[in-house]
Order: sequence, then structure tokens, then C-alpha cells
Amino acid sequence: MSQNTTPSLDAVLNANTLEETFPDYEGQLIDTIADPPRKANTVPATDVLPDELGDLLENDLYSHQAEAIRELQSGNNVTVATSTSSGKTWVYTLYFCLQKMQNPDARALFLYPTKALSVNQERKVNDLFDQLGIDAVAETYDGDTKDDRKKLIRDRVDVVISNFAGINQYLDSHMKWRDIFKNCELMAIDECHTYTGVHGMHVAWVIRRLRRLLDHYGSDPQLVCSTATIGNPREHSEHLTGAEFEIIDEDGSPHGRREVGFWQPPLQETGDLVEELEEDEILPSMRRNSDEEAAGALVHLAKNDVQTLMFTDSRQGTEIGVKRAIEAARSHPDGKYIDVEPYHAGLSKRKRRAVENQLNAGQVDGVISTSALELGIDIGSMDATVLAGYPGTRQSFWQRIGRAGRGTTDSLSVFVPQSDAIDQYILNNPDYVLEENVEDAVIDLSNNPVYAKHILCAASERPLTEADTKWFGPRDRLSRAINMWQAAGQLVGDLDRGAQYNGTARPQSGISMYATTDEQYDVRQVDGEIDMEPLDKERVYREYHPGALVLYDGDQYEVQEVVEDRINPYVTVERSNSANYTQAIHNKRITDLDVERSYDLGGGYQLCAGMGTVHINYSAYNVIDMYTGEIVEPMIPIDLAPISLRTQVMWIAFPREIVSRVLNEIPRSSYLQPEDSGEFASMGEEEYTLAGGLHGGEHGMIKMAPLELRLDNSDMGGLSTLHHNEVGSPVWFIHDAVEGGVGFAHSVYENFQSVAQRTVERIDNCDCERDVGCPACLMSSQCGNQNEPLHRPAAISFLRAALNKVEDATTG
Amino acid sequence: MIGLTVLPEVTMQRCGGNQLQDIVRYFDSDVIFTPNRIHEPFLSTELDDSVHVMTQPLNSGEPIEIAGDNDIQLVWVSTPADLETLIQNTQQNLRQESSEVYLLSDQLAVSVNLIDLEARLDGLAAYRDTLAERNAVGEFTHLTIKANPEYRAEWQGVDVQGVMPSANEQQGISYAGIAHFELQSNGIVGGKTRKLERFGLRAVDQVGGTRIETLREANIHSRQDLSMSSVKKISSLSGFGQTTARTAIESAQVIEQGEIRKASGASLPEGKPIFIDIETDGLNPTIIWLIGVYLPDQDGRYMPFIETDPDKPDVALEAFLSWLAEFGRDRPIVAYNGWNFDFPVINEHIADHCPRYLELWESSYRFDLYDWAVKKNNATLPGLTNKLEDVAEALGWEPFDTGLTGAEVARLFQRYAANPCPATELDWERHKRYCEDDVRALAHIYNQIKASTNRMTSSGGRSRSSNKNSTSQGTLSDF
Ligand SMILES: [Zn+2]
Ligand SMILES: [Zn+2]
Repeated sequence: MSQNTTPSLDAVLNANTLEETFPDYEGQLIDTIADPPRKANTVPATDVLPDELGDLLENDLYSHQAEAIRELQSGNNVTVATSTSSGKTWVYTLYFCLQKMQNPDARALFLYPTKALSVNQERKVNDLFDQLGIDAVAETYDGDTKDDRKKLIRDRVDVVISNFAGINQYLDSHMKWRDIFKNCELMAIDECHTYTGVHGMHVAWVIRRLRRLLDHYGSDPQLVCSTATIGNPREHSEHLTGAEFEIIDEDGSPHGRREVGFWQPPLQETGDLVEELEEDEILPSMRRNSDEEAAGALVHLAKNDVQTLMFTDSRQGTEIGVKRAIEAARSHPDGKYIDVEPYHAGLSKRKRRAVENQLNAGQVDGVISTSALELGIDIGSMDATVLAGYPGTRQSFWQRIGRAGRGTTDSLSVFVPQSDAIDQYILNNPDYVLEENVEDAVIDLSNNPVYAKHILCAASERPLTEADTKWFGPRDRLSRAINMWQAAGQLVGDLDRGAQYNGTARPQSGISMYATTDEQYDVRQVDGEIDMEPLDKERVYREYHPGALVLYDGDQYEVQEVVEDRINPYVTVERSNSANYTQAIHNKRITDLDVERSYDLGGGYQLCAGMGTVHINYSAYNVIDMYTGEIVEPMIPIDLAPISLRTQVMWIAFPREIVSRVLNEIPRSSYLQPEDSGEFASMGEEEYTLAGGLHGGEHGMIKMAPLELRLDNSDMGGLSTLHHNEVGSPVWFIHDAVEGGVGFAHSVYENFQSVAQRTVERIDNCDCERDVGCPACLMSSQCGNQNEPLHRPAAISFLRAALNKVEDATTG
Repeated sequence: MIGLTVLPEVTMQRCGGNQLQDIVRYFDSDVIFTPNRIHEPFLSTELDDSVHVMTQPLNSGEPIEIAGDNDIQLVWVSTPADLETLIQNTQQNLRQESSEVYLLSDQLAVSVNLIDLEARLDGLAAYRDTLAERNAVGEFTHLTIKANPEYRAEWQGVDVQGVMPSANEQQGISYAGIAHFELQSNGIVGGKTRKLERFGLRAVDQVGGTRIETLREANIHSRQDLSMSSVKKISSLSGFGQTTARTAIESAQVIEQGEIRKASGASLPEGKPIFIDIETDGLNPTIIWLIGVYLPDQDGRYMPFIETDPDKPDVALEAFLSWLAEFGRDRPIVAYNGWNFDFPVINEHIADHCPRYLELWESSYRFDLYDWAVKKNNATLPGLTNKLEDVAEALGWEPFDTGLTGAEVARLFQRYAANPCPATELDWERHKRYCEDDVRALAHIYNQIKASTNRMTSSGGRSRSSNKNSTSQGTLSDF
């Protein structure tokens, strides 16, 4: 008699075992991709380090670490583009040890994208100093640093750890920093792939301002960038810093066999009706809630002693995920207790630190996190990861998956798609995520609005002279910027005598490094003491409106009041106890159009560029049962003003006759049918299909714009509508996503023909051949409408009509 | 001199009668200008006849004289045609008397196009053509309500000065402000801007929007009313606790009675202070060309260390430092708002030009009276603002009125440095006196604080200035 020998997950961790052991398995696993194991490639530490250091290290160095240190020793700058937890921190920390041994006065700047990462890496760096007996200390200097430490850190601490939002401000008082600026021999820029788009541009100019002052104080530190896998590590490092780099991307760290299982939530039990449907007639909404399914996968792994990290895209998502996991654990056949914790940037530092430590020590079975744990926070390695939804880029997808895998043991990742069209596409086309096509990081140094603002900052840090063309040149561009600011009354003097800032407010404060507003809201509990990081305005309006039910560190609160009419706005919350959560409904509008340039293409077609106000209005919310996902109370109004952004927009307006033309050009059989419930329910199929064409055209152009222009499409937004009050006809808009705009939408206007041409080619030739398109042509993870509706043939028809008109207008 | 006070629409919408009177008293306004006619009745009711109220006129087809006397005129022009008429008139008059003419208009608007790195002065072409035809390009000072009060630039020989707070967000922060200009017969425009919240009851610590309403309901309409109220009464109102009430009343008293209150235990430095003030070519200067030193203990000796050659940024500084090294060691060096301007600027310039003095300077005892009193809450100072001139005057200091402001001085030096010639050269003696007046005023405040025995009764939350000024750097003349 032979026993059924299903292996357990902790013994054989792969997708098949998951399938075999999963309780009430219903065919969820529909695909698997596997990455074969890789052996470690190591080099004795003493090959590159002096014996007195090398002998103190317990392990050999990975080949990429040794190679990077060698490059640094020959005086080069280095970019290390290897996997998460391949020891990138060691590269620059070890090299600094060497510098310190040669020059006891040597100091360094280590710069990280988040405060959380700074704190975490500070420990790691200091531990290595201790281990190697190096007489050096690293300490974090940022917005959280206590006043009485600041001078001490600036004057004495060997390695100052900070971030670029801080550096932007500190440069104003560079005299206070002169000791470190004078003695700075190494500057490390960690996770540099995060500096893209508008944010990346700001960082790139902050780095030039910093290097200019370092130069002024007589230092020229070597640079080390570290990055996750991106398409263009060398180009990106060079754009970011203005220096040249050697690239180290042969990863010497080992990993075991890795599998990614594509896990589709099963159909909900709704009886015969569903069973009779063809596969392609099943809508994602007929399936079980994917967050619930993801929580189920997490619980199953955790119950099998597989420590698992699950990623989801919102803070509330992590908290609700924990509740769902607790529920799933109850109904799981294995009665073992498991501990699941949330992790996100809104949690207090103490709480986050505790979870990091528990993860490191293997004391927690599962953690549900936002992207906060995607970056290199040191949490050791997980056995498995669960991705509740596609994070939007392949880069991020792989970064999350890369969190799984201890040494050379096997690891498993489970991707559970959301009902969003983009996730559904990836589920059906796993090749899409394969690593070869990882995205480029994009920085546009030619963008003048961002450049001009940093010129003001630089001029306030030290008067700008001829010598500064080295950092902000070419000379012609710099002097044009100076002339402009001079005429605007913001600068006085010139490059000969020194151009200095002459405005009233500190220009550094006018730099918004992130797209969100800087205004922070405190959170106060009326019946207790909540320890919570402040919230930005967008989050308050979206998640902390009065009446909102929010989970925070496992406890539930109801928002009482949003108090804004003061310097320090705040939100009050009160403990509550319900099984519900809330979700705000938003709508987007563009108003107050102000045409600056326009092109009448004839026949009612018009291309325009100008300013507009983009409003996001969180107008109502639904109360939803946390466990079933059902709406308990629909559409309760929210009494908060819309969040508005005055920015640059471009739009193409179509004549009304376009409607019949498009409908004639596309096959009737391809018409889209709106869902019975939902915001489009009132539309007829013609109208819905046309809306899909406009929406598709708008998406397509936003997606293609970066190929034609150097910009990151996450800094743009769009809106399409069959009827716009101010325009009075079908139209789609493309707008900048930062206040005031930085010229993205306007450059789409300037390059409309080439961008539209490219877009139509891409959409028309897309291999997906689907009417609703795919992420390669129409779908976007930034869409506020779950990528609905989208209609490929109609989008092509709209774009062709516009292009014909442009061609007529330019040739005729 | 004509005192022109400009209130933008955003300020008018929030300004109460009490505040308005406070504003006129504070600036000593001759003319109040606001664009929208709708406010005229309110302004006329609240102000007496000594103040001329002016709103943006409809195009009347001719220039409108707003104010003027023998040697100075302020005229509104609506169109280039008005401008032409005006030039004709003044060119006829000029033969009889020389008079300075200020033109106020909405004809010139400053805008920048960041994408193309271009700044424009809209309306310049037609405006300048009119001037050029009549050979009057360099003749007037052109005040425009389409630019911020900090704005001053020359466009093809046309000297343009903005007057309207928040006229253009690109040129600075937008807030409910008031701008005031002292238009002088020598063409100097002394401009100041203040925030609306500095006036009326709002000027009092701890009193903002909702509390003003509460006080109004309790029949307290002015600072004076509040200064004479009891803590018991005020603390019984909603939104006021004991501490808040005490702080607010005390703050109202300090302003109304012009006296200092010191925190218990607050003490000024031991030793004989050296009072200093610097003049530069801007807020992020390339040169410190004057360091005024005042020594009350040596028979009130004033020493101006000055170097007028823009190419010698080290000379005045070196002279001051070598004096300091010999005679000033170990004495407190006192400046007003020094940590925000004088001290770091000197520090940076020493590092650039004479680093051998770096240690002397950095080990010296530098004391910022503003920081000590206002930011560190060691004393509550009288005056509607904590700016040097306001505090000093509230304490009985009579300024030697040069009509200059720090920003204006810097601008004049810039102009000279760009083109050193007799026409641009500064009246150096006058600048020495201007600087002297500032250091003497500073010493006056210092001594008054030292002598004061009034104690703060409230532990005083945060002071007025640190609350309300936190986002703006201020201008050179602010303190
Ligand atoms: Zn496609
Ligand atoms: Zn969309």
C-alpha cells in the first residue's frame, strides 16, 4: 500500500506543490514561469582588500562587489546594477573603509530615496564599520534629526546619510557643511532607478548644485550609484550626476530556483449560469475578489512555515489584507496560529522597525506591505512573495519578486491579478513581464522649467559666474535663464560679476521634489493617542474624509473631522468597531481652459495648448464589507472641495460628425457593451464604444509620448470625453501632473503629428489583436477608470482622422 | 513725498475697517489705491479726508492726477494716448520747475515663459514708442499694478517698478499683503510690504480668524479693547483657555502701550556689545561694501568700514576684522536678525576672501537680538511688527529718515557696480548715515530691553514673528 506522497511546501517550494496542497483547489494556477538557479561567483576578499580588512570578513566577496571595488580603486565612478540583497551597500561601505584607512579625515555622503531606507542602512553601514574595526561612524541627517545632533553630525560624523529633498534645503547653508564638503571623498546614490521623471530631473539638478559646492570647497568625490534592474543603467547614472560611470551588472550573488505562479481567482459560486459561459465570456467581476484570494495564498504559505511577503498597492490594502488573512486563517484546515503584520510608510517608525526586525529574525509568518518594502530595506530574505496585482512596471514586478529567496534555496512567488484589464492581460500573456524588456529610467535635462528653478537656487547658494557653465551650461542656456530671471526681478548681476538671487522667499522651498503637495496633516485621536506619521493632502481627501473607516496598525478608526483652516491642518479620528471599510469615488474634470496656442486644422478639428485646471473630486464614498467585498451603504456624499491643479494642458477637439465616421469605420461586431451596474451603465453600446475610442486615443498618446520625447508618462495625465462643456465637442486632453506644468503636454502639442503617427502604428500593429487592446498598446496602470472602456479600432479611427487633418493642414 | 499704499483685491476682501485704519496710521498713507471701484464706499466711510482714495479709473481719455505738490506728482495713465498727453503737459511745465513724475498704470505686465526661458513685459512696445517719440524714455518712474512690489527692472531704458502684492505668482508667494511706497522727489522709491494679518486685532498673538469672530461677538473690536480686558473675561470665551487669554491680552498691551516685556530669567550678554549692520549688493551678495560698527561705551563712537570699489570685496571686511582682532575680541557682536543675514554672509565672505580670520570670527560671541527676543521668546517687543524700525520707533527712537530701504540700497549699489560712473555713483555719506541710523536704533532697542523691568506674565506660546514669518526670508530692510 502506498501512501499519497504530496510533498509539503516547506520541503518543496514551487508552484506545483502549491497547487497540490492548496485547500479546495479550483484550478487557480494557470501558468508558471521559472528562473533556473544561479551559483554564487565569489572572489576572496583579500584579492581586492588589504589583508587586515579582508581577513575580518566572514565570507568571500561576490564577483560584482570585487569588480566594483576594483573599478573604484582605479579612480572610476561605478554603477552597480545587480539584484536586491546582492550586497550593493557593501561596495561603497567597503570602499569608504579603504579611503578612511588612507586618509583619516575622509568623509562621505550616502544618499537614499526614503527616510526609512536611511535609518535602515545606517545600522548596516555601522555594523560593517564595527566588524572591520574601522574608526568611522555613519549617522542620518534629515527632517527627523534632533536639533542638538545637527551640528555634531555636520562637523564630525564620517558618513552623513541623507536624502535629496533634504540636500535641496541644506545647500542654502553650505558654510555649515564646509568640513564635510571639503573632505568628501565618496558620494553614494542608492536605488538611483527611483529618480525618474520630474522627480528625477529635480534630483539631477540638486546633484549638480551639490557637486558645484563640493567643487567650491575643493573636493571631487568618487560616485557610486546602485540601481535595480533598469534598461539603461549607464545612461541613467550619467544623466543623473553629470559624471561618467563604469557599469557592474554581472551579478555574482546566488539564488535558488525561482518560480512565479500566475494565480487566477476562481469563479464565485453563482450556479449554472456561470458554468454555461464560454471562457472569454467570463468577466473578472464574476471571480472571487483578488485581494481575498491573495490573502488566501499568503495564509496557506504561512501555515506551511513559508515566510511570505505580500505586496499590495495601498496602505489600506495592507491593513484590510491583514484582516482578510486572519479570516482566511480561521477557515484554513491547518489550525496552526500564524502572525501576519501590515507594513507601510504611514505606520510609526517604531512599528515599522519592529516589523523589519521580526522579518529579519523570522519571527513573523507573513507581512503585507506597500511598495515601502520594495526598496532595499534590510529585512533578510523571504521564502515566498505574493503580488496582489501588477505594480505597473516590469522593473517593480521583478524587484518585488526578488525579495523571495534565501541563499540558494528555492523560492516561490505568486502573482494574483486584479480584475483590472492590465492584470488580466498579463495573466494571459506572462511573457510580457520577462525581464529582457525592463523599462528605462528617464530624465530630461533639457526641460527648462525645472532647470530654471534650480538656477535660482544655485544663484542663492553662491552667485553664478562663468565658471558655473561647467555645471549648468552650455553658457548660452545659462545666460538665457539668468537674463529671464533678471527681467523677472528674481536675479541681479550677471555672469561677469556674479548673478545673485534677489527674490523674497527661499527658492529652495519653491522646489517640489515630489508630485504631491507638501502640506502635511497630523492625525489626532479624540479618544486616545494614535502614533501615526502625518498624511499628505491627497491621501486625506481620498482616504481620511469625514466618515471614512480606516484601519491603522490593525485597529479601526472613523474619521470625525478634517480641520484645514490653519497652518498645521489635522484630521481627527475615533476608535470604531465595524467589519466595514470605505472607498471614495472620484471624478476628474478639466475646467478654466486658457488657450495659449492653437492650430485650426479645419473642418471642426482643433489642436490647442494652454493652461487648465484639473480637478479630482472625491465626491462620495461606499461603505464596503471587509470580508465579502459587498457594498453595504452606497454613495454617501463627501463634503470636501476638489483637489485642483492648475497646469499645462493640450487637447484635440473633434467635430461632432466624427461620431458617424468612426462608427462607420469599425465593425459592428466589435462594439463594446457597458456593464449593467457601474458608471457607464446608462450608455448605449455605440456611445460606450466611441468613449472607448477617445479614451484609447488619449491613453495611446500618453503611452507613446516618451518614445518621441524624453519624459516619464507618470508625470502626465489625461481625460477624454464625448462632450466637454468648454470645448463643446468630443475631445481628449493630456495634461502635466505637477502644479504649473513643466512642458510635457505642450511638447506633445508641438510634436503632435509624430506622436500621433507613432501611436497609430503601435496600436494598429499590436500583436494582441484585441478590440480592447493590451498594456502594450492601450492599457495603462495609471488609469483611474480600470482601463474601461478602451476600444482599439475606434482609437485608430480617431487618430487617423486627426492625422489626416494635420497632414492636410501642413501640406495644403 | 507721496505715501502710496496699494491693497490688492484679495486683501480688500478680508480687510476690516479697524485694520484699514491701522494700516493708514502705520504707513502714514497719503493715497490708498485698490483696483476695484466696488470698495470705494467702504474706504471713504472708514477713512477721513486726509487720505485720498483711488480705484482703477475707467478710461477717461486723459491722464488723471492722483496726488502731487510742487516737486512731485503721481499720475494715472490708462492708455498710451494718455501717456502722450501727459508728456506734452510735463514737457511744457518742465521749463518752469523741475518735478519728479510717477506714472501709475496697468499698461505694463511682467510675465515669464519658463519653457522658452523668456521674460516679457507685455505692453512695452506701444508704451515705449510713445515715450521715444517724445524723447522721454528715461524720464519717469513707471509704476505698474501688473507686477509685484518687489519688482524693479529696466526695460530698454524704461524704469519699471511693480506695486501690486501677488500681482504675479511667478514672482513670489501669494498672500494677502499691502504694499507701501514713499515716492520721493529724487526718484527713490522706498517700498515696503506687510501682511494683512499684521494689522488690527489680528496683530495680537494667538488671535486668528475664529478667535477674532469670538472677540467681536464679545464686543471687543480693537487691540485697545483687548488690552483693557481681564483674563477672566477672555478665558471664559469659547476657544480661549487661561494661557491663551493671558498671552493675547499681554500681546495687545505690549503693542498698545509700546513697552517691552521680558521673560523671567531672560538676560542679555555680559560685556560691552559691538553693534553691527552690513550693507551689501543683495541678499546673496557678491560684496559687503559697508560694515557699520557702533560702540555706545566709547562715547557712542560710530565706525563705518567702507569700500566703494565693487571689484574689491575683501577690503571693508578685512578692515573690520583687523579692527575686531585688535580691539573687539571677546566682546559680544550684536546684530538684528543676524543669524538670518549678517552673520552667515560675513562668515561666507571671510571664507572666500580672508580665511585667516575664519577662526577669529567663528569663535567670536555673536548675538542676534531678534532671534533672542522673538524666536527664543525672551522678550515681547512693541510695534506692529518685529522689524527693527517698527520696534525702535515704538520705543521712542526717532529715525533719521533717509527714505532708503535695504533693498533699495542694494539695488543702487548693483546699478553702480554694473556701470561705475558719476551718474550711478551712490551718495556714500548718505549711506553711511543710513547704516549708522540702523545700528543706533539697534543699540536703542538693546538698551531698552536691558533697562526694562517688565515681566511677561504669560509663558507666551510662540511669538508673533516665528509663527507668521516662518516661510519668508524677508528683505534686507525687514529687521
Ligand atoms: Zn495591444
Ligand atoms: Zn484611462
